[in-house]
Amino acid sequence: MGALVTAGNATSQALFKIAETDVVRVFVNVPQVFAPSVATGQEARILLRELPGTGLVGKVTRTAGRARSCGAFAS
Amino acid sequence: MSTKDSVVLAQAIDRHAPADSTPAMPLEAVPYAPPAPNLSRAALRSLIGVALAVLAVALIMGIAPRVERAATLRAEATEIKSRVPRVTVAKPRRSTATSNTLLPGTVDALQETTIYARTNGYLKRWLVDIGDVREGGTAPRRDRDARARPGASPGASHDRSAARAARNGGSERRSRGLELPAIQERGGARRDLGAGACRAAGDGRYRPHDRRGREGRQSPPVRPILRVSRSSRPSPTSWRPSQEPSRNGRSTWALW
Repeated sequence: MGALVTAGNATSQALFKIAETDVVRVFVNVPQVFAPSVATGQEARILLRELPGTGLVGKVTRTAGRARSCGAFAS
Repeated sequence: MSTKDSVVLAQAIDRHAPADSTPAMPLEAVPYAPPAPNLSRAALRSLIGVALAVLAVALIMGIAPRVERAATLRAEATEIKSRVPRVTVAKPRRSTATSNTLLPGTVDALQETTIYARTNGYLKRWLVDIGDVREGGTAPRRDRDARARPGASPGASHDRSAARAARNGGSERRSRGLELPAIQERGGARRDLGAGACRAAGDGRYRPHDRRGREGRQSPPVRPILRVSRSSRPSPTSWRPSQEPSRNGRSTWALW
């Protein structure tokens, strides 16, 4: 309260952040041996440790198709 | 008595002999031979026999285990060479079309936007706080009025993701709004922050506080960057993503 707020964007002070939470994204790093088997449109079952017993079904919407040698992962 | 002592004894005997007597033969040193032990031949034989027996027993005890081990090794080697080798075999079979793999992942919001102030001033009050969840259509887009005449009307400075969020979830329908932080400008005239700074009235109409432009004319209503409405969801902890999320333009936004 009473704080000076300056106009701007990236370099100035942000007021707050908002995030859309009804639809979420799940980022998964896929080992390279499984990377060719992942394709857009496939179903993915999502198990959340925070919500035990809740099995969500998601869909693969994007695959980066990028191979990373450091961790043998493809994202 | 040693040999030397026996020679001296012979000379002493010679000195006590008469002077006229001629020696029959010269004295000679005779070595002393001690008398041999008096062992019978049978005892000697038995002693030698016992020694040989002990030697034979020791020899047998040392060699026999080695011979036995060598024989065992030869037998095992012969068996390994002669037997049929055992291998593990598997019959090929057709696998399923899909295979399950369990991988760790991170859940993230579909879209995130950072809200900045568009004008300078001092924060007067916060009307939202961390954790507030609102549901409603979003219409964040650039204020055309403000672009045409900078400073003419309040708006919000937002990054491109906000604009993208607007296009994706945009709903022009006015709903009961949420008052977001308003600030008091330095000059004294009150302005709302552009990012959702609409003070939506109960009737759903948007009424900005200052619509007057530089020329004094009343500028058209400023479209809010973010229009949110109250959600039936009390807190983000009760978040339950729907199995089939509807993308009818109404999105849930969480403040953090």
